[in-house]
Amino acid sequence: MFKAKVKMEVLRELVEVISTLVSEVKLSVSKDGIDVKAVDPSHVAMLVLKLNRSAFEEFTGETTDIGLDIEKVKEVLRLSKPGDVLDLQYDGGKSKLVVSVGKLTRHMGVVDPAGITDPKVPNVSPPGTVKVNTEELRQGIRGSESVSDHVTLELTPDHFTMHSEGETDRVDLKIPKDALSELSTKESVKSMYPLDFFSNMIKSISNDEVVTLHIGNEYPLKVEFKIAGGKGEGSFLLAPRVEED
Amino acid sequence: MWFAELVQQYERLAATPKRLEMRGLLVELLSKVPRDELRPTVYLMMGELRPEFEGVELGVADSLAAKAVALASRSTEKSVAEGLRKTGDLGTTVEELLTRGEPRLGADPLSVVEVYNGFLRIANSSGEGSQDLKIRILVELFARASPLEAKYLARFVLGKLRLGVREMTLLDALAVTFADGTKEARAAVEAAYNRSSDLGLVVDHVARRGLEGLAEIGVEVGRPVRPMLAERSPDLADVLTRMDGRAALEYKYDGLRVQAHIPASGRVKLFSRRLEEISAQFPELVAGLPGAIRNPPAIVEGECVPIDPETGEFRPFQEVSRRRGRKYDIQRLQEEVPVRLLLFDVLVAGGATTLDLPFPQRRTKLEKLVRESELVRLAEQTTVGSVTAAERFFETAIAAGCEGVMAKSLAEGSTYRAGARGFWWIKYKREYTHALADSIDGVVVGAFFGHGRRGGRYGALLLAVYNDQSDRFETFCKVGSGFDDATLETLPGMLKPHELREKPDSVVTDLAPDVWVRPSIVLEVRGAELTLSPTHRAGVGAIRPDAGLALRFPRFTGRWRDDKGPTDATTTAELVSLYRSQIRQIPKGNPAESPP
Repeated sequence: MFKAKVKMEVLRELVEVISTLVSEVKLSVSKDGIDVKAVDPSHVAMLVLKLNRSAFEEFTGETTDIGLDIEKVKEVLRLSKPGDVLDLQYDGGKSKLVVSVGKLTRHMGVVDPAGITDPKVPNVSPPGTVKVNTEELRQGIRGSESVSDHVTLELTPDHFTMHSEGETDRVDLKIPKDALSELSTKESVKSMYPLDFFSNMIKSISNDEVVTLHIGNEYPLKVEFKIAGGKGEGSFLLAPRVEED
Repeated sequence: MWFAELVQQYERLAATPKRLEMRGLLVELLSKVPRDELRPTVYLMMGELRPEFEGVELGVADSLAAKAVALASRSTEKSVAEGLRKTGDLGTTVEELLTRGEPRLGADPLSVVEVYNGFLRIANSSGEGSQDLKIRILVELFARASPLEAKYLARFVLGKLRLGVREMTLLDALAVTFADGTKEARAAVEAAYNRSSDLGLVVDHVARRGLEGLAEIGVEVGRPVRPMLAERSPDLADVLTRMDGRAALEYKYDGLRVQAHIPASGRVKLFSRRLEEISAQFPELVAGLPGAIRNPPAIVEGECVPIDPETGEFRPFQEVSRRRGRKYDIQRLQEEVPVRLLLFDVLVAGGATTLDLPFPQRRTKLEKLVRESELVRLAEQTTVGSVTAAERFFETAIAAGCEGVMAKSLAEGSTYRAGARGFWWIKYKREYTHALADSIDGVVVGAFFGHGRRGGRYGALLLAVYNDQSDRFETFCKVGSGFDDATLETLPGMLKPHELREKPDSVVTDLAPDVWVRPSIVLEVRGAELTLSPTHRAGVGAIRPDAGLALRFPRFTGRWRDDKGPTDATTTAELVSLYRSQIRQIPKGNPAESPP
């Protein structure tokens, strides 16, 4: 059983983060809130996320899984306006998820959660950590998108750089240590990542002003962020592109 | 077992053309596979999910597979298509794409059972949303696979696994792995497979209980038996020598071999020679067989032959093959190309297997079992003790539109040898030329009323050639093919002025059409070949004393020879020389066709 009231903005944030990777998701409800684990179909990017019960206006949950078609949730969100509170109710099993906003109620068919990939989350702990302003990252991404499909993130003890290199052009975003709220690495590390995933991830979490990037050498990237004004948190993992020579 | 281990062995299997080496690799693999994973492993290796006769198919089109590869390798569909153009193999393409791509996150290695179950889920999905489900499962499999694993997944999906492992090699390997590998063990494994047509079932039984386990596999109604096959011989004298001077001869109908399974209750199943279920193509047989079999459960075998509804004669085999693989036009084809099942063997009668009975006893059982009708009949059969008698029967068979005869041993050892080809059955066929090169201008001398769609009109015409020596018209065929609706509509009016109550003296034939027609109209026909015939009178005695010539599978070309009068039609002499000229094109050794 699951019953909650949630602000439209919080649900929208959740949906945006999830939809960067998958079109169907399994929400694991417990009495403490909602957990999400998802991996994109090609197993290149992964999401682990927790939304605390405090992120909801009201929340009652027993342990249950809800399989959702993200597009359907987006449809309901499009019918609501900022400031609306949505009412969610699910009785388990094959019953529908009942979503009400104002006078409108949608009985939403659910997806069998057994058919949704439940990824094992690898234990990833890259050696370098940096906190970067999402606005600056977005600018770097916009700069890179016209140049290449990939982006290289590099961290040295004195600066963070992000660069992309195409056949003729190169774009660099370089931020010195003193302009960053945190930079810690013992050595220089760098990895190259698929730009489309990185871009979608950063765009989906731009409500958070600062994100934490954990970077290693040819190592998965870990992006830590907060949602729902700090009442939830999550991380993306992104597999590196390994250069062949 | 991990799928990676299986794939490693695939690589080695695909690399050797040597049967013995292959068997060694198979034995190595089979001994490693846990018992309850043997069945899926064996099916996967043979490129199947279930025994073939169950007809379980993945139903993944090339385009769908390519899309899944694109998604899983994070490539565009365009680059997959380009790769495909370069390599010609989706397997190699996905292998290359994945080698170039990002390493995977959270992707557990695939197990054989996971792969098998994933494929089964794809095969079982149907209806709305099934394409999405199929693609999702495929992407998941590809994304979790190593490049090498993905190569074989793709090939399996497209039915192009091509490991080169033959069924016999696998059966041999089973005998070595799970029994002592002696000749007897191999024969027992093979026999169990021939009775059941299911490699998975065989591996299951032999792995659990050895040769004893195999003995439990019997013939079951609903599960096809691998058909007994015939050797061939170039002449009838040789056939009789091999059969100790006496043999049963049967018409060898030019049709589709069908193994019919008739349960005591429930649905009749029909299987092709290659063990595909073809019940859906012949609803009339499925409906009619329970009434034709006196003592079910039964398994009978016969030849399904198309019949010309207008002439009652056999039609070319191609007409029945048109029905295969059709889903939608069956109703129409059923009317246009009705079939008859001519039964020649029985494998189960009254629930008891008859495989081990010699042929004469099986034939007797079959005769008792079958209630004959228009739809189901016994194959024409006789027993011969001389080459002359054999030749005579052969000629009758050819004249009836058959492709030859099947000789069957009458000896004690003439049991039904499932899946085996041997000299217990010998086929003797005429090898005819593709089609008669020349067309023939025939004179209409009679007409037959139509049936079914052609009811109320004429359905076939009786044609003759002109004998300029005796000034007579001698018939050589009954033609019902090649007439379009418009022509059929105009036929009665066209024939009306020439209709006669009785046969005119100028016409020589043994046939009796519904309406006689004064020889006046000439039309052009083509056919497969000229054959000797007991009923048609064209050129009687020219080749053989009591046989005339007939055109096999005649067809109206659409051309009325208004420019020709009846005596300008093809002459008997021309027909005879046409017959002789085709002999030179027919490969050697057919006594019925040697010129006198």
